[in-house]
Amino acid sequence: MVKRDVVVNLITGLHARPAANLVKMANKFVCDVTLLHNKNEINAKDIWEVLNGGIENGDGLTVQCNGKDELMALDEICSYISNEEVTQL
Amino acid sequence: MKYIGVGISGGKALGRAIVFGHEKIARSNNKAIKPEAEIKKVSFAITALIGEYNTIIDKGIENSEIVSLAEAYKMMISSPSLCEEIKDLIKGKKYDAVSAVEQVFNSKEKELSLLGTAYARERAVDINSIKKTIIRKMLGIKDDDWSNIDYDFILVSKEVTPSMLLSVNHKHIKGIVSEVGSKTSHVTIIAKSIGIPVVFNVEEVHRIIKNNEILYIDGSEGIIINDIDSESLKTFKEEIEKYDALCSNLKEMLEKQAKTKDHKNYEVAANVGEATDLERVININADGVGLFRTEFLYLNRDNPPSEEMQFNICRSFATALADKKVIIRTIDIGRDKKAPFIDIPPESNPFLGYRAIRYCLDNRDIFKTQLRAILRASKYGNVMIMYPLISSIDEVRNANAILREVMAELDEEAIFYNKEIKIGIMVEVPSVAVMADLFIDEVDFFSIGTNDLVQYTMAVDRTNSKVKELYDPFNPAVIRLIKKTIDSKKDGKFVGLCGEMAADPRYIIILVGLGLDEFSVNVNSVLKVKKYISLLNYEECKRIVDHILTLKTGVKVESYLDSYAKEAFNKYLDL
Repeated sequence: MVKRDVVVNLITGLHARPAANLVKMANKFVCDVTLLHNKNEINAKDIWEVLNGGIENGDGLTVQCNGKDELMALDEICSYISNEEVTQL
Repeated sequence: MKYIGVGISGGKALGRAIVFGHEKIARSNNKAIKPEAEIKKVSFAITALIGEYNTIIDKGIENSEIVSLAEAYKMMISSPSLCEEIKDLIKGKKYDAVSAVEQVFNSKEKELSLLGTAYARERAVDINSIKKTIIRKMLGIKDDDWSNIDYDFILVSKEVTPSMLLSVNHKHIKGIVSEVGSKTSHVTIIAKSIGIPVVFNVEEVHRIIKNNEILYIDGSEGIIINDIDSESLKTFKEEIEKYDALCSNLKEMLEKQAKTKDHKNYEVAANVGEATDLERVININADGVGLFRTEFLYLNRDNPPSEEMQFNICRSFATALADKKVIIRTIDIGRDKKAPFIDIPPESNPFLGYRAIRYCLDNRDIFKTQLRAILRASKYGNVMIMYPLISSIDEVRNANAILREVMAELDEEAIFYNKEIKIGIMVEVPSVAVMADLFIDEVDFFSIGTNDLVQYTMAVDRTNSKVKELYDPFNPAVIRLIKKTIDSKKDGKFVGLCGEMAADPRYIIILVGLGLDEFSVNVNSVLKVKKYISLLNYEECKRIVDHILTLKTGVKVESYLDSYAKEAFNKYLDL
């Protein structure tokens, strides 16, 4: 299992479309992808859990991946959530 | 008949009305006799809807907003956990298909509403709209099929839902009218990205407008007109043609600087009030952000926004706009637009009361958090800070003292920020304008807020219909205050103006003549203002201003400018 702390940098937080992007990304991998946020464990492969997580721009969270392709998943998902290019809307 | 609402997205269009009805869905609340059959009903409906979303996604519609919304919706209804919850209700509690779907979606909707942020509340609207679509499918309610409409139409409904937008032919949608709507909804976002006019707040519109009748919509004015005779139809068509031609004409201004015929340069920046405005500011190639209203970060939520969130949003703008200005106005809230977590007791006169900088100087925690976020973002671009509703020198000094405290804290934590960050104030209270020559020593820039300046100068509440005639931006007193403010500029400092006046062609003549440095207007008006400036001559505008200063009444000023504007701007006046 691997994990990493990230700060959310998506302009509207994880709502609707950014959430859908994240879930789509998570589902490409076979490993489990969990977001630890405010003591909640959120399954990143389930859109409803992600939406109800109430994750906002600027929130800190831990991405946790567990499974065969965990390293690749962790990198891709963290870079999406923390989005250094900033222009991503 | 003309109906007045609120314009949400600009433009003019004609089309046949398609009125979405909102009949109550009648159904019995039966227990499921055969759970298997009920489960099948649900999966049929969901599969059918997934198919519809797939069609939208596969069609490769040019509009990416629509496609990504369809993708998000598809993901929501194909979620395994959702299906399990519905099945459990049918099997375990013997719910019928409709009740089970309703129950599950209602609880999802409720969970989201409870998150207490504006965005989450909007998503609750999305969920409600998906729920209704599924239920109608299960009940076999045949919605009229709008997906193959091959004529231009205007969508009319009590509330236009994203699902409705997904179910119509996007090539021919020319406008949207409704009674209920919000400017942060998916409907608004999509409409703006297609570039069609939207008018909300038209009362009872779904009853007034008949299916198939021809409708005229003007999203800039916020009006719709029906019962159109052949003569006015012709006029409207001509108007739209003219308008469209002018708009495409305006595109040439995208890459051009705002420059008068005699080569004096002006900046035309954008006003911003939503995080998602950034893309539009970039697309229109504005000269930065002249007014970043930060209230959206505070309103419609139950707790204060985190420093990180504010920082991220400010940084997004700073980075994306590189060396262009991003002027961030600190919180401008008061009793009239208060946030749930900010406790301002009722006042008999909120516009003269406890608000904006007055509140911030007293509530340092909220103010300091905001200043920290802005300062941290300042290292990523050309960020400036602007205090609203300043009325005395002491307030500027007190605000700056707090700012210095925050800077010292950041220094201590070894957090970088721009130590030379420019600090300015809104000039919207006459006490500042008349003393602008002294205020300028305290700040790096002024930004004139005309809406409030007119209100406070004339002592008139423009929402009060009995006195609103007195609200006159052309009143010579107002013009003199603006002149005084601009004339006080010195030492490489600058003066901007944000407010409706900066986009009024007649006022632009005055402002060009007075030598204003920066116009800050709504994103939609940026190109228009650039165009107007390019049609003027600075030296001539100076002479016009000289003449105007001899006039004693607002009416005289306005009519003088009217006739000059007709001559100078000609056909562009229709914009």
